[in-house]
Amino acid sequence: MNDLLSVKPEVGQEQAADFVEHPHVFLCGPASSGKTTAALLRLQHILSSDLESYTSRALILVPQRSLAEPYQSMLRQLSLPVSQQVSVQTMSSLVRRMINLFWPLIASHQVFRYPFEQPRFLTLETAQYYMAQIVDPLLDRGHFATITLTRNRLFSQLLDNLNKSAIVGFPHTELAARLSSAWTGDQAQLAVYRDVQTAVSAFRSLCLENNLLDFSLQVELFRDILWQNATFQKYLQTQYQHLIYDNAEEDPPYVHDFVGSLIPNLRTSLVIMDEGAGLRSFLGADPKSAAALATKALKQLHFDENYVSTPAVNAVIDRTQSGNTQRLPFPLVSEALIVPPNKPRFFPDLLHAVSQDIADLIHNGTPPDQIVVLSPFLSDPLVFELSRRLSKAGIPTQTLRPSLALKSNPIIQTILTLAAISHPDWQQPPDLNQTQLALSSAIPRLDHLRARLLLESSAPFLPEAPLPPVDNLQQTLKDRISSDMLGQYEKLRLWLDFVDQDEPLDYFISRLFSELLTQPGYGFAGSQEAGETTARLIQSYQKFKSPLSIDPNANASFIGGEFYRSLSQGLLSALFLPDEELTKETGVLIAPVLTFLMQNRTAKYQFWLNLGSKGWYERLEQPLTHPYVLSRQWHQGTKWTTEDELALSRHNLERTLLGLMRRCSGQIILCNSEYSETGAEDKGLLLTWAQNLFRSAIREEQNG
Amino acid sequence: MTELIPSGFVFHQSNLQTFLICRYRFFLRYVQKMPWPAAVAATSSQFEQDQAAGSYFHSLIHQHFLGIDRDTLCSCAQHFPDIRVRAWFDNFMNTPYAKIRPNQYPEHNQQIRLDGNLLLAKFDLIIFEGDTIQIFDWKTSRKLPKRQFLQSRIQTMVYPLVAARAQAKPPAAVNMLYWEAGFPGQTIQFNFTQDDLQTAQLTLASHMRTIRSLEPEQFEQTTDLQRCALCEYQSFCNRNSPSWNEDSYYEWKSEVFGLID
Ligand code: SF4
Repeated sequence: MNDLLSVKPEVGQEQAADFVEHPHVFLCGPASSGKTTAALLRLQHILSSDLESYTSRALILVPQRSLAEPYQSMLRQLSLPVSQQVSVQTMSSLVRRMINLFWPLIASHQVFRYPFEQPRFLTLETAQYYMAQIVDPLLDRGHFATITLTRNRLFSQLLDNLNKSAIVGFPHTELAARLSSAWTGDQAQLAVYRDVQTAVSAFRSLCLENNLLDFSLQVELFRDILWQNATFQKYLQTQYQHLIYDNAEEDPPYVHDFVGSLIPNLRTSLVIMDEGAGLRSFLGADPKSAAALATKALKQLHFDENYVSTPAVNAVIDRTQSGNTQRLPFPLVSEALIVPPNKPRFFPDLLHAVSQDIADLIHNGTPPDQIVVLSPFLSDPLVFELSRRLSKAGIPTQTLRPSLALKSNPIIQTILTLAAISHPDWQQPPDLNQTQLALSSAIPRLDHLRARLLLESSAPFLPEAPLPPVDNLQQTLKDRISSDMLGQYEKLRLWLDFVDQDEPLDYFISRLFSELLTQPGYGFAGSQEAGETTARLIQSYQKFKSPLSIDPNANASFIGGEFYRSLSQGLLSALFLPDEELTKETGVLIAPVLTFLMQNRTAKYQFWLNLGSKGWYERLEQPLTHPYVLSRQWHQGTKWTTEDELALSRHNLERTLLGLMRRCSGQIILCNSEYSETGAEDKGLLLTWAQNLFRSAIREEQNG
Repeated sequence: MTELIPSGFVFHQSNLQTFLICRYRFFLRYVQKMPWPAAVAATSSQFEQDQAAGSYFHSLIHQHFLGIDRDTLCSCAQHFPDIRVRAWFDNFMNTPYAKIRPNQYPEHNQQIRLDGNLLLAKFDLIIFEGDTIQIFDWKTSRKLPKRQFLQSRIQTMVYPLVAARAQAKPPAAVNMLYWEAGFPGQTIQFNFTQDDLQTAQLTLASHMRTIRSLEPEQFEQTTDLQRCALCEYQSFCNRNSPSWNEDSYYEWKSEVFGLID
């Protein structure tokens, strides 16, 4: 077998890789200390010597698919027949697959009202849809009156509560009590927690009545039924003999419980923990619970070396670790962190300067994929403006954002508006603007002005009957629009008029696309982007429809209408994109800080934007839940105080700074403007950290 | 320059069959990975039901071999909205193939390297008895396919070849049995000799070599319009859709199943 790992392994890495000598290893160390490289080496050994047997298999477990990339990439490159015997999974994908496969075992426990009917898996978004069925009537009755969240944030926090109870391992019926016991503020909040309990309990009942499985219920069924079952245990034991579990610190406790009880039945295991991480604590990641897995190992290893950062950056890393007040020489600090000489007044000027600096770096030979632009949050204007400037300079960019808004895509808007026009049953007619935009997009030669004239010429615009027949148009207008354009319009109108209201929306979209919009003269003809986007919209609808379609009361028209409503209300925001498509492009990466850290990749140059923002360390405002109070490490009955909040902010900032610096093989460019992206003069803790670092370095230089 | 077909590309019966049906479809689907809305002819509730029922039936058999008891599985089959599933499952449980034996592997994936290429087979069930390998493939066709038709399928070459070549010692016999759930008594079995396996190996290796040798523009569109009948890229290729026949439906269904797997 080719040796893919070009660098000669260190002694520690060789020990971690030796699965014969060290069958059960717990490996801990900071980012960039060579832990994953050691795991790859171990996998390579396992592949070459132990998967010969027909049934021997290895499980690679990671908390998020992006973290599996080094393993996937190695398996792709090795291209071995035995690669087929390596399964790369996240725990949630494993749980879902196992529930599906062993559903009859769960059915026999009679937990659900219709146990022998199929499970209806909910995504985060379809779960929000069902949560809306519970919460909307509660809102009408005045519950959650003091809460000013948008509906989808409200729903997602309620679901988050259920998830926390499942992944931490306490009954969901204790949620209100746990949240209330830590609360120190206004007593009105206690009523909100009671509302939370009412909503989540009703949601759970709805799920049990209808075979709906949100994430929390999947976890509970896996843990309480499957995991206890002898048939399932036997299956797992024959399924996997080797385990590599990377970034254990980013998973919640139920995964550690599972791994802990799996290890004794495995031939070999390697558990890896990134020291000082736990970036997904707000999602339930629990580094302390991960650290307890060390007790299951026969060999514990600790890596200290940082193989990525320069000595200058390493010095700043040491200085940033808690409690270190050592002063660094100014040249060292300014070698690690660059502060551009001119501080622009406004944010757009800053973006101009950043793109200029990036262009210079690339001009001087830096590959684009060695440059990242990071900000705690990525706004649309930031991404648009920066990508525009860089692409003008011929520099490719890659954006990593958690989701793309379906609604804001013009191709999708066109399809959905035409769908709403042809489905009066939905009772959600599009307005004049939407209709005008859709018409111009469907018939490109019909510009916005003509489209508007056409819609308003015969009578004031009527949303319920938005498209007037050509025969009803005034002659003056007919004179302004060519007859073939009018012909196209009439064909479109008639096509939409003859739609069967009971046709499933995915079939409707396929027909609209093939029979009309891709025909010569129409807007999607010859457009590959239109085809791909339409296919993804159809996939998104199919995911939405799958739990609903089993309901006998939900006909095609109802499901289509609900999909449209959910999109319009922002409940469905994510355009389904397979992971590989998010990562296949190469170029200057523009990403939120956390997303970058969870890619576990390094970069030579990191541009940090929005330095004054509190987003670098403050947790999101979550009035309905609390990731720390609901964690396994929280002592029940203790109060969550302002000091706790402050300590958490400092801890988060330190963790983020260390995580970023350990992934920087060159320099960090601190980019700040007098007025931030939001137009404010932000002065957060990150700015203070940088100022203190430079001030102390200058003082050191003056003293020295 | 990056390779058109990367070295880790995995060939299987589905993508090889696609290549033989239309090279351009192979290129769009497996090289470009271009999603596209389904063909209008393929959007029918009958197709959707067939897929759902077929896939559920496969799960039930898998669950049976995992050791879940028959009564529970029958209750599940009874509650499936498509009543065919219950009959299919009853049919299956009354065959000798339902017997639980040692050395049998349900829903088993196996990969071999052939001429430098990875070739994958996904067996519904594979049993090792002494030096004989028995492969089973469950089907849920509306019409019983002809023996000649199955014989010409790429699957009938890929499965026995992968099963045989994955063994350290060549097996004495490799048999493959197609069992149609709706026609339980009419099984179609193929017994492969070493010569058959050698022929399969040469044929498959030649297909893979051809695929690797082609430039993008050489992945040509099929000239047989019938093959476009259920293809999702019809609107991309500006192909008018002729009506589909049983063969094109069978092919499309097995491709779609391949993708789901
Ligand atoms: S539509 Fe026809 S020519 Fe085009 S890819 Fe499909 S089968 Fe090939």
